[in-house]
Amino acid sequence: MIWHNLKFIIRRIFNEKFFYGINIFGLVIGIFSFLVLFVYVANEKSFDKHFTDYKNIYRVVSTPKGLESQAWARSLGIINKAAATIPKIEEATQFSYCKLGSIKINDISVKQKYIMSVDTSFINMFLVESEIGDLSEISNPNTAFISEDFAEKYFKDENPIGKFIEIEALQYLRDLGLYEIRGVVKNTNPKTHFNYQILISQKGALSKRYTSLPDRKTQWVYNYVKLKNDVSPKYIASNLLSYFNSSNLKQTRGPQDYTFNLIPIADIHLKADHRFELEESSSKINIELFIIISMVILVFSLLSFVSLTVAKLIKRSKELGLKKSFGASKIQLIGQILFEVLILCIISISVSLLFIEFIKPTINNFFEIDFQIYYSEPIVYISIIAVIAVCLVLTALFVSLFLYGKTSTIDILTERINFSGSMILKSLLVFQLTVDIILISCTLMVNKQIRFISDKSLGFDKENVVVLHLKDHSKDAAIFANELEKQSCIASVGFSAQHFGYPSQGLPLKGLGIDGTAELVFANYKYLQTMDIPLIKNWIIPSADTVSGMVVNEHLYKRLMEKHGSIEALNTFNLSPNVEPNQSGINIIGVVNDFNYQSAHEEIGDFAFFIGESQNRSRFIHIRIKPGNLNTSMKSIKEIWNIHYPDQEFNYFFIDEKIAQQYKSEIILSRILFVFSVLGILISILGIGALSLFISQQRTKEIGIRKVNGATVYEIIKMLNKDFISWIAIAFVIATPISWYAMDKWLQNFAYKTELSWWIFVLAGVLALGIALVTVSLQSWRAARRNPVEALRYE
Amino acid sequence: MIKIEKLTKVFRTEEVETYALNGVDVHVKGGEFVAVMGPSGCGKSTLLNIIGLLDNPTEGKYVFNGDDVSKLKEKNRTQFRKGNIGFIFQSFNLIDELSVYDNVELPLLYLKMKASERKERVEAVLKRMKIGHRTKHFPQQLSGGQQQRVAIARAVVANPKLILADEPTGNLDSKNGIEVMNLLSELNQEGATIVMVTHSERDAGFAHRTINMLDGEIIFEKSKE
Repeated sequence: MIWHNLKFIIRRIFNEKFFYGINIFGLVIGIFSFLVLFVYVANEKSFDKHFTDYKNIYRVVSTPKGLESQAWARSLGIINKAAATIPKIEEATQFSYCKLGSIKINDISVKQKYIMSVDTSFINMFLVESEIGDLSEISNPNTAFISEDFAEKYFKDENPIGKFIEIEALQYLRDLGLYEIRGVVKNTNPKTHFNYQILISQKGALSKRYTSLPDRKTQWVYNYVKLKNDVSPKYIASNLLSYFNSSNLKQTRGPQDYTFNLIPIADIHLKADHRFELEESSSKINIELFIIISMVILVFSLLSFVSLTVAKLIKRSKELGLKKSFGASKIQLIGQILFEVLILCIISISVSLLFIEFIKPTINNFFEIDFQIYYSEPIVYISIIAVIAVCLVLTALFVSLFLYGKTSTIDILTERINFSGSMILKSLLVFQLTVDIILISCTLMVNKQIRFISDKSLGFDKENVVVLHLKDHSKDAAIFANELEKQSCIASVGFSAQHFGYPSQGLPLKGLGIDGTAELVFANYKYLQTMDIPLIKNWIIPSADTVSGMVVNEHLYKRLMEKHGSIEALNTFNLSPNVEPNQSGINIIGVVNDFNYQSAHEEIGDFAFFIGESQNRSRFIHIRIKPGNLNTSMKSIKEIWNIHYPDQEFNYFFIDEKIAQQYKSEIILSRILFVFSVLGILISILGIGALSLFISQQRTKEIGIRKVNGATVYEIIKMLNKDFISWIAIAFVIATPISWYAMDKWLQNFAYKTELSWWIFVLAGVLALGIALVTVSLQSWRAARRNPVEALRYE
Repeated sequence: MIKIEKLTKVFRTEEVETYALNGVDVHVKGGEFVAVMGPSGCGKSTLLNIIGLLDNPTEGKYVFNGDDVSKLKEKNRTQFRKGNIGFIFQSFNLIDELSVYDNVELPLLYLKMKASERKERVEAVLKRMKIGHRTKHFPQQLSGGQQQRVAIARAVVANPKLILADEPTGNLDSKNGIEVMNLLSELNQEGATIVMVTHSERDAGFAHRTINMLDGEIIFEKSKE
């Protein structure tokens, strides 16, 4: 019987290539989207869970007071000492992480990714496995372990042990000297929030750095702790705080008050939004949205599939009736249909999986995600089985509901079928249309907001500014800047220690007599000109050689004026002896317009530039290029750079691109919405098409009679379309408040938001209407053009 | 074999009741060949459907081979039909996607017969119907007469006790029609009971007995000789 059915189905598929092609196509889109999104989400959620005891492992985050919103992934280097005093900590480790350094191997200097300096606790905590060598040697001075990939790349058939790597540059460090390779470790599990190619010892060249860590307020290392079972992370955090408060470190230069937090490692990849994160986290991608969209698309495509299958069954009802007359039972018939559905599902899933392999790089590029299917993991098979099961259950439900519920064999044989259940099908249609309208209006809205933000004036001119990252401060950058300014293509050059979006420093406002902390950026005076940030109040003494002092934004200035009344009063206050011990009097020399230093998510707060000409400000060299030939300008900048800094790589970025990155999550959201609206619409076209086929089939006789009595094709199409218009109207009424609500909620994420315009909803409704009418008309056109004699003959 | 007494079938819509059959009595003995005649709408197809257990009567008694089947549920009717009744339709009702062989094999599949036995039976019956050379063809590739012979082969392959034919020659020309009627007669002579609905006096001439119906009632019966 199975063989018979199989033969039957295959012949049927070949006989009706078009219908089955469409049906499988719809299902493939649905399964494809579902698998991509679902497997992606499953992968994302399983990050770092391969570590045994991952529930007990936490990252320690220390944040100076007032800067809680910009916590770093790196923290104060006190964890080893502190852990020794807290018995509930089972193990603690600190390590440095260099995303891109430079090494010399086999006498050639190369860029090298992912160099970590670690200790044995790291090896234990993160289950580093040795391929060759004894991992305890990591605690010997200047030893290194390399990953399998690294070994494969540089020592194909040779034994790497005993060979040397020269570390030329690590993050913030240079010329660490030779490291001896003592072994090979297994590659990092891809679902880990960090990645190592080379593990080097913390002893030897790095010893001094590590020993000094507990005495300085630098956040150079990443700190992790493994707690004993059932220990609350809050308890440990408060212990760390008391350790810090009683340590000598608190009294050294820098912020006095810190907060400590413990972040579960399983949360880092998905939720942590720390500066200097090890690997780019997915905190900006809305995982819940992925889940919802994947489910909606899957349900959509399954519904379309089932509608098409059921619509087709009416045409096939004679065959089924015939089989019944031979003694096939209801169960056997449903079994046959389900078997067919199963075959179609298997075909669709195979096509989807092939398609995924094929299109994977494109997906990863477009959504800026890292999507992989790990066929060794059960989740892949579970989701496939779930898809098949849902598909079968839905079909079984609909088939028995619509075709075999109340109809007898004789009804089927004589094609006298009444669709008592078509109300349900119609509500399904309304549901699909509703989701379509929601998807379309949200896509339009998100795009509108993104356009609004990127067009919004930030308070400075973001165009045509290139930023060079200077690491070598042994030479006076001003000489370099002067040279640049001589070029005809360059308008001006300014220095700052931070750039837009880069973590700023905190300036406690106590010294100015008010509460809170302002964001502080170190820059030179030229920077303000280069960034085109105009001074609205200017107390700079024109005769001064160098401009130095504080420039505050209008927001902060207003607050200061509320407190002090006038700038004179403020200056008197500043010069009086009530300032903090190691804070010299602040000299305010100007006020600038409010502008967005972070992103439009956040409202403008207190902000200050500390203007001066000292060397440390030249970390980021901002160059305003005259509009015109960008390539030539970049070329001449590079030439001058190579003359002044021959040893340093030419690293640069454009400020407007940096700003665009701030909206990465919104841009990706708009892409997701766009792609899935298109897919959703595509599938619902199939669904609507199936339904109109269904209805026109039911009304074949009516259409025939109307035509015999003189109805034109146009009139018939109009008649069939009329029903659909009312369903779209219902869908519109349901969809509008839902998407209004959703978008209103989403817009609350932004300090600066565009309006929810009425036209968005109207446009979405009109689009849905257009889509439905075109689909229905195509279908009804076929029905209406049929020869009425043919239609009536079946009676 | 068939005992039908006071059989009534009413089709109800919201406002009208139509009596398709109104107190019909029919008796068919095993081995008999009965033709049912009458104008369109007289109820002959309804009668055939009830005899074939495709439909339930509204009232009355139907005894098939000694079993009262008038109140059977759909599920049990299906069981009863299996292997006992073969159908022949005016429009042949062959399945387009299946070859001649597969079409004929279909009823045997639902009887859960072994593959070897199925093959034997299908080949024998196709040979008998003189279409043994076209087993691999599909219905569209056959002439009307050939298609109806396949349909007859399918109706008889399970050796049913009763063959029901609904205007078996209605879609055929006279030459092919006579051929089909000869086949039915042969089957009858070999012991099959046949009930046939027809409009054609010629076809009715092949039957032992003719039942004439009008407006849901039997108006007269006529036996040969």
